[in-house]
Amino acid sequence: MTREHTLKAAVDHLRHLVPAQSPLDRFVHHNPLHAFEDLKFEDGVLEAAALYNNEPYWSEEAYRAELAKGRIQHRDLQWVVQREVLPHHVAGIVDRRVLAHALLAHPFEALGGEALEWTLSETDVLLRPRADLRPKTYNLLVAEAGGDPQRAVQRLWEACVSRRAALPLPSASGEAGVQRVRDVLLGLQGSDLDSLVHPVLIRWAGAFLDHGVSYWPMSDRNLGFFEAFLLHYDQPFDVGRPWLQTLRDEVRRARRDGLSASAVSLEMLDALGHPEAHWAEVLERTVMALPGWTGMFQRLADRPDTAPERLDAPTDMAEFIAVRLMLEVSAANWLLGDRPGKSLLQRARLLPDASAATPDVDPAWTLFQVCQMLGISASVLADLTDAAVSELLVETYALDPVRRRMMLHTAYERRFRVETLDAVSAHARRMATAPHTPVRVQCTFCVDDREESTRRLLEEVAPWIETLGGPGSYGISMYFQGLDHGHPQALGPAGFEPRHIVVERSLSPQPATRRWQGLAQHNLEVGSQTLFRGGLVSLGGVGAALPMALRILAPRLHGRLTQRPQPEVTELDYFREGEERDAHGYLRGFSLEEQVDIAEGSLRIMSLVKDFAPLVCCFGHGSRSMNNPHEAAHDCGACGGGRGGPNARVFARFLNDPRVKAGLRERGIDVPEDTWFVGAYHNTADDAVEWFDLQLVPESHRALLAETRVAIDQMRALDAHERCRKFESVPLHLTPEQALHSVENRVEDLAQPRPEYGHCTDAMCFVGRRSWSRGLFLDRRAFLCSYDPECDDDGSVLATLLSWALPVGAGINLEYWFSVIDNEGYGSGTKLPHNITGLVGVMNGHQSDLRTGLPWQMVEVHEPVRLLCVVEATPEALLKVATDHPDVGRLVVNGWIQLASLDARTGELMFFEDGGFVPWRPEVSKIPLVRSSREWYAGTRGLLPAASVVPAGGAR
Amino acid sequence: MSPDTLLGMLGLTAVFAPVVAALGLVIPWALGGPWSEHAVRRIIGTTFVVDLLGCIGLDVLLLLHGGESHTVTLTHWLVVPSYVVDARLVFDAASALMMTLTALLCGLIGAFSAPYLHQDSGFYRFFVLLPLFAAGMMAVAAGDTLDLVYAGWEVVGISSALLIAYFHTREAPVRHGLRAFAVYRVCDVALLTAAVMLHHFAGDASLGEVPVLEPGVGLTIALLLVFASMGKSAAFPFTGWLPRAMEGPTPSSAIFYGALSIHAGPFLLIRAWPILEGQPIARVALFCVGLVTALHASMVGRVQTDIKTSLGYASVTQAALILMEVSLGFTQLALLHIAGHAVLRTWQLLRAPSLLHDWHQITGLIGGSRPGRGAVWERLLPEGLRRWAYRVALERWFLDDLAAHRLLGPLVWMLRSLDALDQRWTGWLAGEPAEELRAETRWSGATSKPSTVEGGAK
Repeated sequence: MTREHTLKAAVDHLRHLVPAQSPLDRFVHHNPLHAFEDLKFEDGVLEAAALYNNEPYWSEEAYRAELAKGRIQHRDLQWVVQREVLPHHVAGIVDRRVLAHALLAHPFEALGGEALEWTLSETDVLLRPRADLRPKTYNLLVAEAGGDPQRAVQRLWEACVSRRAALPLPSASGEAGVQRVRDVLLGLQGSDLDSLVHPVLIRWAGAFLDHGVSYWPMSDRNLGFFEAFLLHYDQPFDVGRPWLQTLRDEVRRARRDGLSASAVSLEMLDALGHPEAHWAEVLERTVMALPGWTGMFQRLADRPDTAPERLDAPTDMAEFIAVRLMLEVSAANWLLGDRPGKSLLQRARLLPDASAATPDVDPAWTLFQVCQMLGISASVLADLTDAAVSELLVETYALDPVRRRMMLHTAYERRFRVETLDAVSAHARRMATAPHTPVRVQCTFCVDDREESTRRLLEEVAPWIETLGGPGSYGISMYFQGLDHGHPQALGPAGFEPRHIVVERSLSPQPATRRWQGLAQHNLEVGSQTLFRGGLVSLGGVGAALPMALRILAPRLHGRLTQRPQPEVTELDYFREGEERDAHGYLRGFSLEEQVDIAEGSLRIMSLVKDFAPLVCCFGHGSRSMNNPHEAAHDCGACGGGRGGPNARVFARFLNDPRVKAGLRERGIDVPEDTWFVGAYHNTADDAVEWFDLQLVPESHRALLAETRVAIDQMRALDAHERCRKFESVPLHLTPEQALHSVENRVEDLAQPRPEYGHCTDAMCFVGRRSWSRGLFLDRRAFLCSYDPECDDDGSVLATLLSWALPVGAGINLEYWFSVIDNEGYGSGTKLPHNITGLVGVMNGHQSDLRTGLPWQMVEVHEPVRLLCVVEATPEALLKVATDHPDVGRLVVNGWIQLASLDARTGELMFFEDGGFVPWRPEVSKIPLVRSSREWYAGTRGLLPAASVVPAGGAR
Repeated sequence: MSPDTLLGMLGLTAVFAPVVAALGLVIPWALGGPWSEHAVRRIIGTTFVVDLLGCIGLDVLLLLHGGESHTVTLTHWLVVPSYVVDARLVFDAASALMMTLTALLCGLIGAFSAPYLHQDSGFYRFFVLLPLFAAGMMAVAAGDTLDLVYAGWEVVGISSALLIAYFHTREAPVRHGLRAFAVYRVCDVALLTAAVMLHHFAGDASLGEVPVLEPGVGLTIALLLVFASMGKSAAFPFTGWLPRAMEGPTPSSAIFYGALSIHAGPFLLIRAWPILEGQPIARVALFCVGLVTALHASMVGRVQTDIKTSLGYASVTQAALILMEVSLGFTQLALLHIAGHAVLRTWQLLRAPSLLHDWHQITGLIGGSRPGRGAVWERLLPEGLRRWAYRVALERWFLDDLAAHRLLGPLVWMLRSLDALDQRWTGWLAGEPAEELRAETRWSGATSKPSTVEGGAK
């Protein structure tokens, strides 16, 4: 393989590893460890943590706090120890599993050197045994000292110290691996090369990727980052920067010889002194110093259509890396230029070591702690041989902190699984015998976990409504040019670029002032930042005091006053007769054939193929909030991070067309002629509902629709009320109407960093008939997919459904999982200092890497548990899907999600574990029964376990 | 109660309300029993409502009296024969305007920040610093003697620096807070010197009635005041700290660098206008500072690609314009400009996280992309020069690097050499063998750690 190939292979490998987050506006949840899904979950987590330099799990203290709260129980620890640790009698005194349990339950830190000295002299460790011992263990320790705790502990400590020489040390933690010049310098001298390189690199990356913040954009971007950078640096005059002196020579040479980005990268790697065999690893470490920016280059190359504006600026990650290497070499040359050595790496290695040595760990201290946990007193210890004590320590070291954290986390997830599966089983049994209320209206929602409460509360309010869950895109993938959209929005699954465009137009004449109003607003904003216009604008700036005061003190009122009145009636250009295309080559609307295809697919995936009610309301959803750069993260995932209202609207239009109904009938779906579909949009932030095309509703259906709307309005207030209990700043005693008012205020409030909690706390995915999950209080934590195994003879619907729902659900769930496990690493930290850059991402404060993942305010109440999927299908059917669809299979088999099969008639469950389904044995067989959701959650803030909600009378 | 007494009382209420609030928050905190979030909201709310009412009452009374100025002597700090240090407040149109602005904006920022910082670990800290800052601004606004202005000036400085470093667990905010503080200190020396000179030559540091000074003394004091104002208003060449001050939470950035703190500089000069008026050289110098700053900030600002930095430079541009207005003697215009700009920029900075929202709205109204941005006179430049100018703008005229490598570098090197010399000397005295100096890279010789450190991986 040539050197070029090695480089290319290394860079190409990295393309999969950099964060794949789209520009803010098109935020779609995805598994940040998508590239590791071929590994077992536990292995992937560790590998990724090493690569990205993040935490694999919470700290031990965090899990022990959960243990203290009862969120983890000791039987969970026992279970995980049984599973992870083989039995073995250690040193003739203790079983290995007992030792493991003790180490999991008791915090302790390996200490040595000054830290240990301080602990011994300044804390009470030598005055009494650990405070968290059980009475029995405590008595074992102090008995021989006549009950004097201080003497007992001191004698034990002396016994441990006297054996110190014979004790083994923990093995050194791994080799250092390949080092960059920067790592060597940092280790030896404590000076960070990246702190020179990054400010320059970030500025230029920001300029290149700017989609419309700066007034004067960078030129020559059509040539790519590398060429554009060279052009700008091939200019004289660089007074400030001694460390960039050699850069200009390199730039000149590269331009003179017409070197490509990869050729320059090769030269730079040579100058740094990395042998070819190390390139892959060196580049990995180099790129991971600034993963956000690098990832954005890659993302915009993969999906240029996710950019806010289409720019002629090809983004190639390899070019970004080439520029980065040039800057690194220049900086290193300045630092090391006059030192002996051949390459920069060698020169760096020859520097004197000025770092402080890390202290050794004292094995006597570890022994001291372990003895206390196990109740081994000084005299018992004295009776043990050196070999036995060594074995005890070696076994202790084997359970290193990372492994302990993994086991604690497994126990944490198990508790949730036990409670949930037990509840599902009990509830399904209860519902199997419940009477049914006749269905008069059907409402379809996105499978989104936020619609769980919406659906449950709607059914509570109006038992005559049946709710169904399916993809919120309704199978439609399109660009939608709304009346108030500047650019067409892609609405459809994130993986695909739509081929169709649907345009909304007003039926009432549009005032020509709209455009002028926009231009005026634009000019005011731009002008206020310039010199002279800014002066003029600021002279009248006092006028801004009124809107500012109103917006801050009465956000909802301000929002009402400034919202433009909706144009009364609009029409969609959604029907295509021929092959018309717009200027970008998109098909203008859908042909009849395509409409029937989409309608069939969407109805089948919801298992809505028979028993149609006279009125079917189709809901899309999205979210609107102020001052929230991550606003799009709250939109519909099925619509690729867009607002799904238009999809529901278009879908309803399809279905109301007799020609489409006729087409469907040919394919075996009999939608009655007198069934009417209405599209609607649910804003999950303020629980507003917008209805579409009401003017088309036939007279015969208006009364029923009016009744439905009343029920929906009641539901909105109840939903707002249930949501508000999780917001610490909203008092618990509000009425539903006040709660609705409160969330409406919330979304208009500039100062509100938590407009809604989004998918936060999501943890489950249920696939099956509503009959067994109806009335189950799931606390807005479950994706609910409708699926009827009786309408799916060949399992094809199940395959389609799972291969869509499980990866999407896992993506959302795992993004939250990682963002809450390490919020500074996988997440983007607190959003308070976030600063939007280039319309594509956020930085921390004035300059930093592009922050990817979710901010703290979005995940703060999340519990990191992997998605627990309960599917109403046989284990055989599930295994078939997993085999046929590798995307699903690897998630299940490698443990990125948890999967259970439910038999709805008996409530029996099979759980997928270690490669196969095993029967689930419930710990408890009862589930609490309440009359309304509100009764169950009243007065509480935290997450609640599941409960059966059966309204008085029990009618279903 | 005579109108004069009433006016004095209203003014004192406005000046002292934030002081009381700051003490009321700090003392329980120091004693280990801080208020709850809810109580803090109440305290801050009440304080600024009272404050604003006081200011409005003051404005009304002043209007009724035709803008006549009133002084209130709080106390004689120090009295020796023929020498008095007074703590004296003045209430006139200028101070009333600045006080009203302070009360209004601090109040609104307080209302904004309560939900914004809800459950943040620095919540309490922020709400201690906010009234402290307001108190400092009140002293700057209403101080009739340079001593009192200086006291307020220092309080404003320290509270600003602490708020930049609000996220003190990360490196960059602390570093940038320190940087702002250093710039402030350098310029504060000038203010202190001016105050001392005024005392020495005029026997009093009053800003109201300045006796005739010797030409050289008058000029020196005027120049010192101009220099003093440059730090807070981020004038050239001190501009670099301002974009970095955006490390703090959004509301503190808004109030400090958009609204109040940045205008403290020009306001000081308006206050000291009696001193400055007869000093053409100082006024020309001020005009030049304003002009260069305006050009610099306007050029640099237009290439910035993140919203907060962009707005930061826009603020500097206007502050520079205001400095120029002051130098020309248009103090009334400058006051109007200060008020308008402060409100406008606060509003824009508070809305900065809504950038995408606004972008959607504007493109939606226009029905497509916004019209071609920028590049008005840039297009006139030949290609090579244009790229060069772009780079110079993006690199902010290399100011940061000049400071780091050409100014701080040698300074650090000098201090280290002195330190090494000192150690050898004491070692020799103590009879210890001379210690080998650590072999160092060029780096540690130039700057101990580059002061441009930022943008680490996290």
